[in-house]
Amino acid sequence: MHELLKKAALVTVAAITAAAALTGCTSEPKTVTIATHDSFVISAQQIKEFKKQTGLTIKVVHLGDAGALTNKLVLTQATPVADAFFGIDNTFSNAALEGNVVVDDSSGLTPIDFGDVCFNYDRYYFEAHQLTAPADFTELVKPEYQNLTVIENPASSSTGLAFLATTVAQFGTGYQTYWRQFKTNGVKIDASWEDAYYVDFSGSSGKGAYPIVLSYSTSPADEVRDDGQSQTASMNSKCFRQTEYAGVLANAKNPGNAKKLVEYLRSSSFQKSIAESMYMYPSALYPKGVPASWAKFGTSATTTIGDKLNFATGRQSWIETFIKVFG
Amino acid sequence: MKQIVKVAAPLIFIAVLFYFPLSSIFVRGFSLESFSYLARPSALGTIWFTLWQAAFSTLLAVAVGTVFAYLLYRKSFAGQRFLRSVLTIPFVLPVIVIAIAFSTFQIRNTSSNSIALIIAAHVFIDASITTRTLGSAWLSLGTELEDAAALDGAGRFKTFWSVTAPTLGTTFAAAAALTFAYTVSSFGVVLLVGGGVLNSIETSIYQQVFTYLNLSQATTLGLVQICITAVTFWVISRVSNQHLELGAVNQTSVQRIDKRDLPVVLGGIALAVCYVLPIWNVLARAFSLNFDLFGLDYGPLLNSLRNSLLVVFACAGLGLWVSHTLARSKTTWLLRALEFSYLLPLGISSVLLGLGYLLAFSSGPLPLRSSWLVVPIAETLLALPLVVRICMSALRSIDPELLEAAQLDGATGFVSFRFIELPLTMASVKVALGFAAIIAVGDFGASSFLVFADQETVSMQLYRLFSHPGIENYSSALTLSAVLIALTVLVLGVTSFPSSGLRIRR
Repeated sequence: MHELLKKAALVTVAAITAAAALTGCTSEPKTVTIATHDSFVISAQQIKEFKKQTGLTIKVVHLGDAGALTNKLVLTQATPVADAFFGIDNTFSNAALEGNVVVDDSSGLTPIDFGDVCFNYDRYYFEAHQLTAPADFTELVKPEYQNLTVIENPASSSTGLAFLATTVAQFGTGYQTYWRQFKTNGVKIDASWEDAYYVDFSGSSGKGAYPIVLSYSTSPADEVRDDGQSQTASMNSKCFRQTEYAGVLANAKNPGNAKKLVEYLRSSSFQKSIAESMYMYPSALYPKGVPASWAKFGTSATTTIGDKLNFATGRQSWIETFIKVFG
Repeated sequence: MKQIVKVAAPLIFIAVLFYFPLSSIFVRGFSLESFSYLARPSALGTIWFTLWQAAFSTLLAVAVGTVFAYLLYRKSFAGQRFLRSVLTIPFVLPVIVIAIAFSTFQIRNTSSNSIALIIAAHVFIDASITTRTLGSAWLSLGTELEDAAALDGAGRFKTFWSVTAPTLGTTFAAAAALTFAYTVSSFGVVLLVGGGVLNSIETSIYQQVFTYLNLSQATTLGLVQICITAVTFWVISRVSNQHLELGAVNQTSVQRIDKRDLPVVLGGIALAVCYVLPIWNVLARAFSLNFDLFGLDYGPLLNSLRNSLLVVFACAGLGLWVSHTLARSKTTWLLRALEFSYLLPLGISSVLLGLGYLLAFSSGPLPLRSSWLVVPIAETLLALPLVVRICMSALRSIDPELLEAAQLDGATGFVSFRFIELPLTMASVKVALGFAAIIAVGDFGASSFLVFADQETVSMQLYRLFSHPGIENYSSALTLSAVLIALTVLVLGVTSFPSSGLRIRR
């Protein structure tokens, strides 16, 4: 009887060990989930390549725009929906840090790409009217540029918000005065970048009525005409630089796998695709790794402004001030 | 003992899944700092917009509903039944499809145009409810007084103003209050048409959570919303002792349509055209753009259908359990508590429940939020009060002598339920479960607070496609809307849902 008990105990221990070993295997899953904003693009080719390198299958979870992405990650911080993230930018990084979304080490916020929000102007219009183009946004309130500018609403558009922040960085508490002047000077407010750029801007396919638009430094590369020149140009000083990060989520079930994915996003095979697929400059390669047309017509901004602002505390009151001026 | 379990189990259920999340809104929202936020012009503007647009929409919906109710319920003409079922479409269609339909009329970047469209969309939805409510009440009214007035030479309008309107007064008031309560908590229409620039309290809550990550302001706005709803329901209970009920409409006092009805008929036709136009616009645009039925992702639609199936099952089980307990037991304080706890949630909006779930179940002892079941559970809680209400009054209307006779013949509780009560109340139960399915399929508020990954519902998919740039997304949104309109018409055609009406009974 005693012997029998001993045997039973042995078998039990063996079974438990085996079960533990088995679950140990299954707890290291073969997929890695990444939470991103809706503009994230990764090709089937790249997913295959990553699987070849690491044995992991990438699962992408889209969570809305950069703001919705960040806030949803903060709200689900305790039980995250993914292992890694991509697309929290410097306008939301404060919120992400305060919300303890990212792990607190070097792999926390890894820059993957960046873009510059700058004003573009229609060169044809300025030539035809023998008008000098403004050097930067502070000149847009001058009378010679009356009724020429279209921008996006910061309440509904990230480019609009980036520009609103630019004015806060430039003028401090006096930014309200700028916006009142801008309103008097006939600035048009559109809900989205698509509306402003493709419908109201005179230099793009929409051939609208406004020769100045709030867009990106890379946009002129898409407006190259038959003569090999771009119809538009970007005002490259005092732009807002938007940097997008990737990282491992705090409380991720598989931080090791997440780290491998973040490293892959910094690898040259992914970085090379960023310009074409997401219209951003690749952080690890730039000025290399962009199409030839960008090198000529879509270079990054010469000076940027507003990078140091704390959006987490300022965003809402800036937007409310804006609405008060234009409401 | 058995009785206590019968009452306690559903009490615990609703306490954990409704009152606990609701209380977490109170806990977070009740602070001096967030109340001072309410005094800000932006918050006051939002509250004011919410109230006046709801009041205005209600007024128009009652006016339109009166014309429709007169034509569709008081008069009789060929094709009337068909038109009645057409009028059910706005009620059954997911609200986000209606929002998309009306946004096809949007002139870019004019907020006054957006306001008009929001109100128009609300009237579109609300009038289908007011028509039913007023129509059913009108049906139960005799024609003698009106006939007498007509004999005295009063015209149609005069008869309506001096005879019909005063008699139906309380019905009008109740229908208006109910419509107001419904419209004050409208979410999808304002979010989609308002585009984040024009906000109601509900969309502000959404914006505070997902744009500004300001939970305390979101919860404070939630408290304001709860107060408005509470006051509205208090008014409903004051204006009349009537309560909402569903059942078959008996057609007794109808007359053929005649020449004197011409102005109303013309008005009705004009309104009907306005009703068809948005739907027509969706279909026309969907076909004129890239109409690619096979390029659509039907996963979210399947999620929604699966969720609604679960909700219907849960509501059938729980709803019948609770309503049977309420209808058949001796009234004790425990039973009163049960009745109260299941009827109160009727006024809570889907957005508030979603917010409560997000706050209560994201972490802590019950991290329900990370499971896909959270959406069908929340939707069950949204539908259950209505289901209990409908089933309870149906069960109570059964003649007690019938049940006593069965008991004398030795029928057990189950046998009498299965073979007497259920068959007698089947029509009402079906209607109740139909409502549950509609609520679940159309839900946008709760799910947009709770679904973060691959468990997207069809309403969320539509909103995502619509709010993303690019003509491809836009045409996918329209095509999917067209699919949902077709499905709705199909379901309405197959089921006999339209033949039963929402009515108010004394």
